[in-house]
Amino acid sequence: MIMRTLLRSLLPALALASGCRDGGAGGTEDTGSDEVQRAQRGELQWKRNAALQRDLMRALELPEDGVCNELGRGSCTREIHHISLGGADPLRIGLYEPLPDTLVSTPIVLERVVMSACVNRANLDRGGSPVVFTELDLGAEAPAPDDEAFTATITALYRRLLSRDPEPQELTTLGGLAVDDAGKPVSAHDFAVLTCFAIGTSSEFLFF
Amino acid sequence: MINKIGRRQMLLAMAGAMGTTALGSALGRATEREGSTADKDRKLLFVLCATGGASIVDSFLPVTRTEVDDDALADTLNVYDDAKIITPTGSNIRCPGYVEPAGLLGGLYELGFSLDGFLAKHYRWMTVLTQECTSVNHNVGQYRSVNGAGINRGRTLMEAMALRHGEDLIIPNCNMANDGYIQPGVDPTLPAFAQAEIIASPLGFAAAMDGVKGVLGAPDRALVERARGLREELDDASMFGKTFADSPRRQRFLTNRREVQPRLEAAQMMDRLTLLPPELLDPKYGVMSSPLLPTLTGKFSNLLVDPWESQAALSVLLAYYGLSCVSTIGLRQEPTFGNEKLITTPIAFDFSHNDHRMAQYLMWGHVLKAVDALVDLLQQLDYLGDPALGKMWDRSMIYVATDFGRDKTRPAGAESWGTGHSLNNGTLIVSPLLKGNRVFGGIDPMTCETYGFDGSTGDSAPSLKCSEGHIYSAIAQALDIEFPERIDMSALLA
Repeated sequence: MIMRTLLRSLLPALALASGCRDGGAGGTEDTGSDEVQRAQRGELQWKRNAALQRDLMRALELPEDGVCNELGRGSCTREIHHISLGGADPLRIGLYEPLPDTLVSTPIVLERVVMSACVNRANLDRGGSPVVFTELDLGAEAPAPDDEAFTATITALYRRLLSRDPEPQELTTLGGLAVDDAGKPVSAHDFAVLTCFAIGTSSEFLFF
Repeated sequence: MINKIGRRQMLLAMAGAMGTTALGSALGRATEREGSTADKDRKLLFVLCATGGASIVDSFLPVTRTEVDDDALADTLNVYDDAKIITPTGSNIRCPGYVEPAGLLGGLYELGFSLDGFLAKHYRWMTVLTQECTSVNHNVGQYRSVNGAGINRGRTLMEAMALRHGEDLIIPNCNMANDGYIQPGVDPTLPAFAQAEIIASPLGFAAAMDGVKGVLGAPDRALVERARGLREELDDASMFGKTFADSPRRQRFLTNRREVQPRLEAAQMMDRLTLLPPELLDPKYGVMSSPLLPTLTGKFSNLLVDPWESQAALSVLLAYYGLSCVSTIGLRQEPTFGNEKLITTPIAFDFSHNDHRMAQYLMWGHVLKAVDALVDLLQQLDYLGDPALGKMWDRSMIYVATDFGRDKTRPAGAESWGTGHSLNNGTLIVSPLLKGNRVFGGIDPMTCETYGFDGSTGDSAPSLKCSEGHIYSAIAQALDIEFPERIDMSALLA
């Protein structure tokens, strides 16, 4: 009886968990094949400035002032670009509710915030005990895509930023960040920052 | 899938293909592209929001004591001693002269700009329109002052302006104001490009023009471009991207990232819009001050501490560099400090509740100082830096929007008093596109209430009233904005 009650109470949670992969917004089904049904309503929520800041702090284990400081003059997410990142500002400009949609400057500002956070994390990992880029020698070249350190680094970033594992195709695509346009390996530091940036500025990270 | 290419995409692509490069000198060409037909015809609108209720009776439609012709009545009205009213030579408009700081907190103010000096310099471009608004609620009054109380399908003037003149501009409608002045219109058919870009930090906005520049430790730009390209692949191929491919919110974000951001970065707008002086820019960031900063600081000397000035300065840059065709700026609620004293009141014009005359004089001076600077700069600068396009001023309009008027009465004989909100008021527009040196409408000295005029003939009559819709229509007509409900205001056109 107790087991039955427990199972019943867990059913909604199990259903929700199984729906996470398809977004659950429009009857999308994960068929296991490449065919993905599009969410018909597509009602996505925008991860606003404070949530964005907290998510980056959590994912990259950064202090609040270690995410982004715009030209050394103030917090990107709280002071300088808070409106563009979806924040409200009732006291200064009487914006009591945040804007419903992103602005022209939103993707640009998001890049600045994520790039800054990724650089800060990579610098901390290079200068002390690594926390995120634990498998990289940040003073050396980037690992080759078939290197275990490559897969471990990408997987760690996906888990930290998107709460899932990368798909094989995603690992293949990100192999392009281990080298420059001429095919020459980039530094491990640049590789760390660029992969973090690419994943952290994805629409999957900004919307939910 | 074949994407339909709209007129805006095509115009933007053409503008991008023609390219933009950095300035060689402070007043050099803003862009290297030839002025397009749209550039040649484009009008520019600057909306200056006089938050809190700027009274026309205390600026350019004052009543003198002798005009009342009844001493006892005059004692109870907001009238000025005859000697206090100044009419500069050649001007058909008049205003109060210097008002001594007095009353509540009088000793804390620093009066830095006189109304009569402004009038003497600019009366040729000044048009005063009487009006009666429809709300004495701040937020509602503000909103209606920029949307004409809904006369144009619920579109704000700024949205209508962006639609008419900004289709090929990257961020045509920039709004740095506050409260009701930043409220969007309610027309659901309005294209996204015409919606306002809200800017809360004018001094920091330049950074929003580039995703990498000035971010310490960022990899080489070529590598970042490579990461961006792969990110786009990942974004489209991911389960999330496929599932939410049709999400309007995500599509809007990706369109801006994929189509607009590259153009902004190619135009190198970050340096051009940077209002911080070199001494406040650590060289390690690799960011430069705007080439126009010395010109701007000559007019806006307090822009680093006064948001009103920094907004006005940014509005000039946005127009000059061809990013926008309409900028809206607003007085903040918090007071601003000058050298030693306050140069604005707390809660802007609404401090009239406590000390009407002082608040009105101080705040009108503050507003007009920015108008004066804008006129000077717009008269100095070629549009897009191209002499063939003429001076920016020739295509510009400065609209001083406000919430509503103020009460016209005072306690008998009072020298310092407070006023409530009033529907009755008037509006100041400064532009070569309207008949200048003119007052349309009039004022009844026995009540200090304004009355209206006929927009098609310009004739005033005490029986007429002009609403927010009339003001909206006059501005729209002068800026070539057409809509079915527009009221004929031909008599006002230059």
